[in-house]
Amino acid sequence: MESLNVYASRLVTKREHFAPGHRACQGCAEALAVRLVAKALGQNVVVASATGCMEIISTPFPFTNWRVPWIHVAFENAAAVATGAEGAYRALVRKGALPEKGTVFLGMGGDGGTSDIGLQALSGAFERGHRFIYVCYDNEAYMNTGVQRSSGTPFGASTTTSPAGKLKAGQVTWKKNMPEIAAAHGIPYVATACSSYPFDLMKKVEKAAKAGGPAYIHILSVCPTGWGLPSEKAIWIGRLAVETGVFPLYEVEQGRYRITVDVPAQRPVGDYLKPQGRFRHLTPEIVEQIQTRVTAEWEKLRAKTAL
Amino acid sequence: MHSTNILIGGEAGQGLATVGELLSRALVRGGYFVVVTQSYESRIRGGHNTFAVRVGAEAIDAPAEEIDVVVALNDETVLLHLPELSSSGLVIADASFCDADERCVRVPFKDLAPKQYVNTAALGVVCAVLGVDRGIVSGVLEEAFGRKHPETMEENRRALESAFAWCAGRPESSRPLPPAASPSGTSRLMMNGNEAIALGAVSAGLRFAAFYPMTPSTTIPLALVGMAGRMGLVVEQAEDEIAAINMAIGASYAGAPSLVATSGGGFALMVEGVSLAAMTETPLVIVVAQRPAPATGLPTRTEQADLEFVLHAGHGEFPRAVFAPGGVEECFHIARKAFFLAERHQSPVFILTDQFLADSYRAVAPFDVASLEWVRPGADPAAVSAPYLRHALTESGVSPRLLPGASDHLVVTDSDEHTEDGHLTEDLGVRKVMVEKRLRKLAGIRAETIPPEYEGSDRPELLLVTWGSTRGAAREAAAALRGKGLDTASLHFSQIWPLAPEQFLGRLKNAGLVAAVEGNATGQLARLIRRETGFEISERVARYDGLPITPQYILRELSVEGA
Repeated sequence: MESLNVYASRLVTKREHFAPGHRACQGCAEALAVRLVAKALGQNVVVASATGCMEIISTPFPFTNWRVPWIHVAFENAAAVATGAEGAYRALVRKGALPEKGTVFLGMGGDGGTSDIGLQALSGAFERGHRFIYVCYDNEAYMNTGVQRSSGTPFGASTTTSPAGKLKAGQVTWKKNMPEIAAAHGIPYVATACSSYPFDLMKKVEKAAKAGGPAYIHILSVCPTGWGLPSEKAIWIGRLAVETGVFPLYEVEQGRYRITVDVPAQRPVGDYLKPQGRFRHLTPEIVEQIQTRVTAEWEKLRAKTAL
Repeated sequence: MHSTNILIGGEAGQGLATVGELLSRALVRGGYFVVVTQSYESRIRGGHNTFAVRVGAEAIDAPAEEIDVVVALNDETVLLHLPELSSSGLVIADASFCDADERCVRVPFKDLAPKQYVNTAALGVVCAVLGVDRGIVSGVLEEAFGRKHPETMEENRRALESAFAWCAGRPESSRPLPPAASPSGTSRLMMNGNEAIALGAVSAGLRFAAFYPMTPSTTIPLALVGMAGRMGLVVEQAEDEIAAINMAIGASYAGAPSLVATSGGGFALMVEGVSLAAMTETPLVIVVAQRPAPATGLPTRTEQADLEFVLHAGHGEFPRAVFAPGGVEECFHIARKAFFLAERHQSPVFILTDQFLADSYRAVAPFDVASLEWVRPGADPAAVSAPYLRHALTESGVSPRLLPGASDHLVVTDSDEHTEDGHLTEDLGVRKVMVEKRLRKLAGIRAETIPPEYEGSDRPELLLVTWGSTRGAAREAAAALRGKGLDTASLHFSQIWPLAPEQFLGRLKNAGLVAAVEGNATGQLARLIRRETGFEISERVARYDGLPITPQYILRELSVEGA
């Protein structure tokens, strides 16, 4: 695998469509994910971005990063605006007012903008069958406004609105399973990814662009600031999320499940939880509870790949 | 009015708000009055942020522009704020930031404290320069970190000590505050507008709050979360503002005095819920913390541009009340009043605040909470005869509100037009009387309208009209003009709707010249007053650059010589 990765990096273009010089925190793996997605999609793309970290860090002049057409929308409607643009484009092509250039339409948002406030607009866009990609950059809380919990916050994580204390050990509900919700729409392509696995991520984005209908990619985006991690540990912790089975990397192509980064011998979840400040308060019992859940979810996913 | 204005500047993530809060707390504890203005950029890190503390020995309630002491946590702060420095002003900065300017107190921070305790040393230096008692600062520091991070206390104490010791040998860079008018030991609370709203709501009997995070409103639910365990509240973070307001309507229908807090963009999503609360006659308190718009606008700045939006939000015609507290103490009292009003008139009640007031810490006298009443939701079922009519026609328009499940009576209400018993109807005659019944409630709300606050002579040459957070700036500007021989008065509206013209029209007519001072571009209150009274306010002082209105801004815009 290692030698193959060395070769893979040579195949990747050096051109950046999400330019360097943004204002994210040091070690932000979410900004890296945006860069990889932009790289994989190339120049011929139109982006609609919800409010959130990625909007704030990439657009204040003169620290702007976007080299492709880009619109910042309200919080709940990135999928609606992206598919509106897509619909208009197809109509104009049909009428001969625009040439068919195979333009890709990308909607993007964070976990809050996707699985909380933006879910209705996203579900509608999937159901209408637009040819577009939606990417959720999931850093597992509202980091932009000061680390409030979202429905993407994992069980046990401490945030300002799910603080760990004497009575409660942080977030009390399990993380909403957005990739499964997307897959339940029966759309042509759904995948999970993580910027710690750049080639896997970019390959999935390329597939999504060719899906011929709605495509959804859910990217675990490590946030050193919100997760309580040294900034140089972002890539490492992303790998641990995958190696412990907390965040499996898989894709659902026309309903067929496939694990893209297999982890034959999973590490215990404690390896992933312990280094993070947001999980510092967890007792061995709660870690065990999380382990049981992760194992069960992994088994369920495995069973689906066997179908 | 003598005051000292201290500005702490630096990048986001440098901890300047912590230094600012500790400094403010020490000053309040020393018996001083403060007005805090927080100005920050919508950035995760970097950018230029400031925390300004205006401190006075006597009561003050407006921000000031001229700076007496700059505390620069980075070199950019020195460059940006030197021009705003008063003639006897000082800049406290690391020796490496400013070398040429003689107004700089060049502090060798790296000799005073290890890197992670430099902020504590900076706090020590500014307190020593102002002559704040070291024991007070040390106590404030202990409270902030002693319990949570006991291991850091020793280093913090040492940093503070070396800062005071370093300053002791420099009388030329000392700017002692005048002695506080109130004896030390007078207990005052340090509180910002949002904390006061939260506290007022809880004191009035709040039981349920739902929200979706949105600057600058989020500190209200956060303050409520902090009290939730002790006070028996439920605070729910919903998936969006639509869910938040509808959860609150559900909770209020079931009998829990309820609140939602948001800002303009979030309130836009709530608007259908406002009209549902009105139709189902469900009490609801809605706090809108304004920030510059349209759309995302300037998310961390201040403005007063949602008056017309809130006044007209919701489709159809129904009564409502809109409040705009002028200061932190008023935030508390108005939040209380809002709950009583919502319950008594079974209508949506709004509190309009803004980023400036939301984040502005002040010294407030403790509230005598023991003597305060709280809302008792719903009517007494024993006094209601069967069949129960949730929307019974009454003279006042208010029908006895029973809580579902709390008695044998069936409680039915409907978003469609409904009959007295709450069932959907297409009877157009019923429609007409129901519209009239709901609108009759406005007379009851109007009877409780808070009269605008007037200060000045009976026939002033100039009258400044304000609402909401601009109250303090206008009063101070008026006093300054009076000091220059121009007979100036101020008229402050802390309730915007319903207006009762008999309370203020005479004041407008008796003034030589009337100027509306508002944090918006179009003069929204002035337009409302014209609509309701026909009185045309000819002069405008408008601010819509994202910053709060100051007394100096008013004087400049009026083109009168500065104070």
